[in-house]
Parts: sequence; C-alpha cells; structure tokens
Amino acid sequence: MVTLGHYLVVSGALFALGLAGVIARRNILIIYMCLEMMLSAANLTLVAFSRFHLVDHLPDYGAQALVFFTITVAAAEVAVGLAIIVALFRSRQSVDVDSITKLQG
Amino acid sequence: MNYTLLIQAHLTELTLICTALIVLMVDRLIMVRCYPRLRDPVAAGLTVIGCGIAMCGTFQADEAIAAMTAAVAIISLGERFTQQVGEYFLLLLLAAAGLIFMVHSSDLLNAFLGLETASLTFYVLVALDRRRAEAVQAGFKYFLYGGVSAACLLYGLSLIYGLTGSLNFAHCTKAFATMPPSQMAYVAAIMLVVGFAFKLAAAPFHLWAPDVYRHAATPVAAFIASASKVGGIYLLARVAGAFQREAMLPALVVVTVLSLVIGNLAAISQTSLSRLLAFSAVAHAGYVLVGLCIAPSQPVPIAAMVYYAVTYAIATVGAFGVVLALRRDAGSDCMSGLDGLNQRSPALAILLAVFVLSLAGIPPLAGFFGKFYVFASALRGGSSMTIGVAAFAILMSAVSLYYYLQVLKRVFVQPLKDDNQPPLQVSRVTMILLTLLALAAILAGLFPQGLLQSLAPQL
Repeated sequence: MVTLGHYLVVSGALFALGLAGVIARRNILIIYMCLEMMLSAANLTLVAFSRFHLVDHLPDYGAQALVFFTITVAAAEVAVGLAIIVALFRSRQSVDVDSITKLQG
Repeated sequence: MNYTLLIQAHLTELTLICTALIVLMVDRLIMVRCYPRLRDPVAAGLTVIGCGIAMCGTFQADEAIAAMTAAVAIISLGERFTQQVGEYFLLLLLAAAGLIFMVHSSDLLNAFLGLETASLTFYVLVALDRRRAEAVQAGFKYFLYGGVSAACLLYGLSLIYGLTGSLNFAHCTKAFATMPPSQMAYVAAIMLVVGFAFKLAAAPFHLWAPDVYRHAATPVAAFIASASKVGGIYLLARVAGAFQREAMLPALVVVTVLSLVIGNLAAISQTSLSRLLAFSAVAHAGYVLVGLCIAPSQPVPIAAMVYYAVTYAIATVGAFGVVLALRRDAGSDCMSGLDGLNQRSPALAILLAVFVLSLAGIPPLAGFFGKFYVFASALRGGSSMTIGVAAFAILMSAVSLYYYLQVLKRVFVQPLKDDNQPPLQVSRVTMILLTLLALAAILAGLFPQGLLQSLAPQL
C-alpha cells in the first residue's frame, strides 16, 4: 500500500537532489534541469496531498486542477530560461557557469 | 460565478493587459513603418495613459504599483538600450499586471501565479539589452536565484495545503489558529521565508541584487527596486498574517538581522551609486521585516509595511532617475561623477538630497514615518526579543546615515573638478517627474496619516 508518507519522501528527495544539483553543478543546462526538478517536487507534493485530502469521500480535485497552473508556470520558465541561456551562449560560446565573469556579486 | 463581478474585481489588471497589447500593436503595425523616430514617446505615452486609467480609485498597493510603472515608463524615455521598444513597454505592463493580480488575489496559489508572471518578465527585462554581456549574465543570475526561490515558495505552499486542506487566505488563518505548530509547519515556514527573502533581496539571499541593479538598464533596475518591492512586501505581510507566526518567527528574525548587518555594512564601501542603492535595498528589506518580527498574538502591521514600501519605492525611483542622468553624462554611475553636482545642476542636486534623505529616514520626509510606524508596531507589546530586534534596526539606521551623507557630501561639499563642465542632461519630462516624486516624498511625510489610512487593505 502506497501511503501519503511515501509520496512525501519521494518529493522531499527530489527537492533535495534538485537543490544539491543547482548548487554543485557547473553546467548551465544541468543546473537548469535541477531547477525544473525542484518545481516538479513541489507539484508532486501538492498532488499527493490533494489525493489523500478527501472531500465527501472523493480526492480534492480542485487542488489537482491548480497543479496544471503551476506546471504552466514551469513551462513558461523553460521558455524564458532557455532564451536567456541562448543569449548567454552567443556571448561566451560556453555553457559553463565559470564563464560568467562580468559580475562582482 | 458571475462574469461581470469577475471583470470588476480584476479591472485594473485587464486595463494594463489591454494597454500592453495596444502598445505592442501600435508600435509594430504603425510606428515602426511610418514614424520610427516617435516610437519611444508614443509607446511611453500609451503606457502612462493605461497606468493612469488603472490608477482610478482609492490609493492602495495596486494603484501604487501602477503609479510606479508610469514613473518608470517616463524615465525610460530617450533611453536607447534596446530596439524592441514595443516589447519593452509590453513587458513593463505585463509585470505590473502580474504584481497587481498578486495583490488582488485571495488565494495563495493565485498569488504565486501573479508573482511568477511578474518575476518571469523581470528576467527578460534585465536581459533585454542582449548586446551587453553583463546584462545577459545579470539576467541569468537573477533567473537562477529567482527560479530556486520560486521552487522553495511552491514547496512551502504545497506543505501549507497539506496542513490546512486549502490555500485560501481566510481558510488558512482559521485553520492555523487552532493548530499547534508542527514539524511540517516549521519546514513550510523556512521555505516561505527563503522564497520571499530571495524576492525581496533580503540577506543572505541578496546576491543577485547588486549585479542586477548595476547591469540592467537603469529604468528596469528602478522598476525592480520599486514596484516589485511594494507587491512582494504586501504579499509577505498577508501570508504571514494567514500563517502560523510561531513557526515563522525564528527564520524571520535571522533574515532580518542578517539583512540589517550585511546591507548597511556592505553599502559603506561601494563606489557605484547603483550598487549602493542595491545594498541599501537589502538594508531596507531588513527594516520592513522588523514589522513581522512581532509577538504572534499581535496582528500584522500590514498598512505600516505597505506605507514603508510605497515611500521607499518613491525615493528609489527618484534616486534611479538621478543615476540615469549621471550615466548618460559620464558613461558610468561612479560616485565621483557626483562631485560638485550642486554647482553644475542645483535643481537636480536638491532633488537627489530629498530622495537620499528620505531613504535615510530624516524626520520631515516620508522615509522617517515609514520606519517610525514599522518600528512602533514592533515595539508595541513585544517580547524582549522583538524589542531587541527593533532597537538593533534603529541602531543600524544610524549607521546607514554615514553612507547616505557621503553621497550628499560629494554633491554639496566637494568642489567641481572642472569649472567648465556643462550641467547634467535631463529631459524636461523627467525633471517634472522627479519634482513630483520629491513632492510626494515630502507630502507623504508631512501628512502621513492620510496615506497610511488609504493603504490599509480592505479585505
């Protein structure tokens, strides 16, 4: 039997893996994939909670419908992010974060 | 669901989105072919008209955001950082619409959608000048930090949904009132504070701010510094009101104290005016967060915090207007360019003094009352810890006087290097706008009660 706890462990692990990847990886595209993984982890939590949150003996489908909107946000982020990465690649011919040298922090 | 009611509730956003589409169509279909020289003024004019229509009604957080957008559209005039004039104003208006949608929403997830609409347009706006490598790199850095913060926020929101079974503000407030703080509530609180700290540029999540403020086109930096602050602080105050504040308090106190220390100390050593403004933004995020470091039984001082954000935004847009003139004149915004400004352009020097003193929080100006209301609400009936945080914030705002007065010392005391330097070039429209902003900073300081009452949310 798969319970709510199982889903939460998986989504927590996905979130942690994504965060670790964003911090540790040097390749921009992989960082970017890790970012998407963090968003997916949050979506998974939301869907799992709404599946186990029963309203009149039925799952809370309202919350599941809302997840579609956050998936749209993630898709919009793909569009914007890839556009910025392409512009970055054009100026430096590299997808390594260490090529970002003009900033002082 | 009645559609007329729905349209009425979101009339402001709809006005802005329609204006955005009109600006793009007019620019692409008529101006590019027939009057290429008039593209800027026409697009900016349409933007200002749209924002003006959206501002009808009582002056609250959403109208303040529309006003900031109009101000940014005016200072964008004559800035040739991009060929995509229509797209630039479209993005400005869409970001404003996203922020206002966030302010109007009564549901955490809708607020998240509005916040992300605005954030995604900010990333594009920063990287819009793609011929400059610095701008694209700053845009990427902002995107990366913003993406992580969005994921943290969404994760926090999903945990709140798990705890309460709903994301409606009113429902969450009711559900959390009877619930003892659990482990999951603490995790959700940390996620929310991390997410909002990124968006508000609070330390230790402020690292994108100096680069974005410095390398983005000046009007874009002014927009991010003003409108997004007002929206972000409003939303944070509402979320904190709906959420369990016992769970949120430890993370909030850490972020507040770190922002106060890092923002004020790092600002002292800056040589570029826009980077100084960036670190002052970090410090100001700290001051306004003091309003949330209060005893959990107290109501969130949302009107005081929004008053603070609005007065801060007025002064920041004005200061960025001066940065703009400085950049156009000297090619950089190095502080040495301010030397003897009083002799070169006395009017601009006085305006800059008003904005900087308002940021520093000198009594007759609006910035002082912003700080006063926020600190007073923290001191009122607080525990020893909240009083400690407020006292520390007052101490740090004394430290901040040092770097603000350094700026004014250059303007008024340092002699001009070369007596034949011409006055700074500022267009007449920008000058009128800066004067209006300075007047607003003075009037909001002289009559703070009126603005404070009108900003109090009617929920």
